[in-house]
Amino acid sequence: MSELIDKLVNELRSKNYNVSREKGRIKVKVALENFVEVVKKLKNMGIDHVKSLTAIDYPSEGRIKVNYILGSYSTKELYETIIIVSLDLSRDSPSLPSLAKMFPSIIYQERECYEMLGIEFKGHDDLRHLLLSSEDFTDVHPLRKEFKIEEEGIMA
Amino acid sequence: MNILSQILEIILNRSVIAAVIVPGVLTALVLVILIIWVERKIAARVQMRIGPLYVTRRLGGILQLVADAIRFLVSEPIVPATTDKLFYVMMPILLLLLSLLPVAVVPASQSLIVIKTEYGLLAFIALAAITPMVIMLAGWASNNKFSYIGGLREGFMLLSYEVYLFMSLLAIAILYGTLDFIRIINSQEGFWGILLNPIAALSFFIAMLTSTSRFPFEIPDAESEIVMGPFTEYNSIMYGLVMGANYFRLYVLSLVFTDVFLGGWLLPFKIPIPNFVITIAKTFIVMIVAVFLRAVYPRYRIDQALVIGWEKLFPLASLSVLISVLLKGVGI
Amino acid sequence: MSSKEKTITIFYGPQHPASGHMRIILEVDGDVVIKADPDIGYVHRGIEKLAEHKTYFQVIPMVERQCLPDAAHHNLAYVLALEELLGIEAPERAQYLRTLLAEINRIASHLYGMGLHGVSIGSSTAYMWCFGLREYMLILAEKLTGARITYSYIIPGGVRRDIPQGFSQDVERYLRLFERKMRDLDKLFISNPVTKARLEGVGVLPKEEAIKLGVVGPVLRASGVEYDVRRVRPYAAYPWIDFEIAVKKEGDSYARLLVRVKEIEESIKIIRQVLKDLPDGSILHERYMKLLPPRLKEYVTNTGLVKFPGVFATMKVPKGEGIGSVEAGRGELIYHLISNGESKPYRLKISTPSFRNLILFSHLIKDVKVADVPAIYLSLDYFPPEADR
Repeated sequence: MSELIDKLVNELRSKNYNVSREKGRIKVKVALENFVEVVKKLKNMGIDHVKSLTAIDYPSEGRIKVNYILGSYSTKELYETIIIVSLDLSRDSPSLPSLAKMFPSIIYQERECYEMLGIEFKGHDDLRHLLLSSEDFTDVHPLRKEFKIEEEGIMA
Repeated sequence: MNILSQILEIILNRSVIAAVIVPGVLTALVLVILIIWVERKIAARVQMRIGPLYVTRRLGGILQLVADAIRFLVSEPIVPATTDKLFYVMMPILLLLLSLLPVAVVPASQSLIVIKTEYGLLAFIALAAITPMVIMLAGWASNNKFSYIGGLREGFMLLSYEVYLFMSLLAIAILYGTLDFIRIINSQEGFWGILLNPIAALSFFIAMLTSTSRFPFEIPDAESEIVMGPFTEYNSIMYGLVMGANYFRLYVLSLVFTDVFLGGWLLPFKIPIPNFVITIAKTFIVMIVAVFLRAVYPRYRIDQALVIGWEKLFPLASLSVLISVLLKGVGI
Repeated sequence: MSSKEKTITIFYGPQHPASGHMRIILEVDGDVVIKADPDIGYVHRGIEKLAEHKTYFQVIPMVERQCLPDAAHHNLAYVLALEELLGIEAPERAQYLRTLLAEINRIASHLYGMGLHGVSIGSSTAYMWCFGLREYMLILAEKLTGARITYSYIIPGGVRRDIPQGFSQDVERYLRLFERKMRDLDKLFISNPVTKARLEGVGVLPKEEAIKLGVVGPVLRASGVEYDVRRVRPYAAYPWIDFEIAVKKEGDSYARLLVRVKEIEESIKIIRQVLKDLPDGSILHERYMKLLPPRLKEYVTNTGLVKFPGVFATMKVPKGEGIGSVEAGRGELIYHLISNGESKPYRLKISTPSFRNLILFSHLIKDVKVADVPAIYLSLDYFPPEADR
């Protein structure tokens, strides 16, 4: 691991964020209040795009966990790192500040996350359905665990 | 007796034979059917495929187009309710007529010409310039955004090629000092037009490609961008007529190319074959060369085609006029 | 007069000869496109939701069928994520065989994209030749795995089959035919002056924009960024193989085409190296080999055809999360697999390269002519079923 990555980890740790390093990845666990701060700090250190935005539904614990997987194309030493920023939201009305102005690469991923799990991104100016039709799926969010897939049997 | 001899006189009149058989309707039909088969077969062989095969298997599928024509005749023509019905149905028929009309002034042998006139070249250019208007009208009458854009593109293409088509023929008229086809052919004894002024031949050939939408100038019906251009909404027999009209235009232009640049029915050596067979054979060879380019080139964008027309081919055509004037001045 | 009356809206829709399974809504003024808005989702099948109802082993054929020209990479990424959860690593011979299939598939995927690009510019000869060349690759894949397009060759712990007799000679013969035909294709399509006039300077993506928009694959490398997952986070046999990354600086459609051609040449080099350096050993991990009864184990070592142990059907995977990232034909592919100790995945998240390149539609197709829209859109090599999942 190069020194730039060590510097990144130490700076995050110095502010008492929950940072762990396993299998060559850096994981940062934050709360909703200091989320934008951490992302801004990462952007200043050279992270410039979002690879993937995942949201996982835990109905028995009443929370939705959101994972941002970030990477860097501009700094050569940071090419090999994957940084995962994760935070928990409550299940009742989950909402997050949108990162669309900082990272344009996240625009379509936030739209898909909104229609699949119902997370509202405040500040995203074009939040409409992407893959599903807006008439049939207005308040239905398929990736939540209560959405059941209809199975058809075959009459033998 | 009187009526019978009068009818025979009408039928055996040279003009009537020229209009109906050679170089008129029948020859045009046969050549168009053959050239579409040749185009599909050549393109297929270049592309590692076989091409039309199953109709008349032993001859390599040569009657495929006859089967296609029968299919067009028996399928149901549908006129969409949103189009301007009169113009929509009238356009294919008008297009076919106007595409074949210029052949009235072009000869296939010494006496096989429909209208014998001194101003043959001029009449030909005038008659050949009407067709693009009909295509634009078809694009408008279809009431479809893609057809509208295709019709506009046809209008732009007209601006591109018409001028240097005219100028290459002007170069030939200056060179031979006459506008009459038969006198032009007779003056090519010994020296074909293409050897005297090859640049005029080149620019006329490229104008021919642009005018009949051959690759690389297949812009008004560019299939991957505007579905079929002005002919998107046409089906069954109307579609067949429209596609055929394109090839009729190619036939007429190739006939003019043969007469003006390849010496018509003249050959350097004597063969006991009637004159019109030689002319038609040369026309077929020119059509094969024009059609072969489908397998080689992609297509240009419309603004690039306009730029090429005005920046590169207009100077070329002007150069050919200059060459004609110089040759005339030297005394050929 | 408001500008709304001057422009017409065209639906470059699913019923169009060159659009694929998606729709672009274009606002056109005369011959210039003012705005483009992609409308996707026509082939959305809900693979992420379906994966939560199938066992880990049943998900393997399902994720392959998302992107048909490039199925081996999806297979590989999922199995890498699964192996991270199980805590095992495949033996060396299996790693080399995985690389072999991945490179054969990369060539087939690039030829698919180049063929469609050619026919949209108007050269149907390029289309027929590219798909004809792709046949050679599919025949090789069939000799190796038994299937032409969806292989299901890579399983957790190794691969499913060993190379058959005389495979190296077959590969060499086909590769020589392939290289000869590629030179013809180069003369006819890639160096054709009309192609250059259509593609040069069209859809330029400068380097800073490419970095900011987070694009992947040959699109990124044609804009000057030297990022390839096979070099940056090596997987399978790539740490031991020598190859170059294709990079160009101009960032227009022609540069993207040239990057793909160079990558095909590099893949041919990799295939030859793999076949030369193939180590001996078993093709399935020890943990699963010792679960087979001795007669089946002998059968597997003699014939090279793997028989699955019964545990694959009801595999219980320990709790945790696994990430598998590979360089597919179209770009960087990431599989994020989360399990909670059951026999079915808890959540599978797929981040496909076509979905990440979607941002370029509204960004690049602006102030261009209508005839440039297929030239740009098909140079991105966007495959709708992969983006919609």
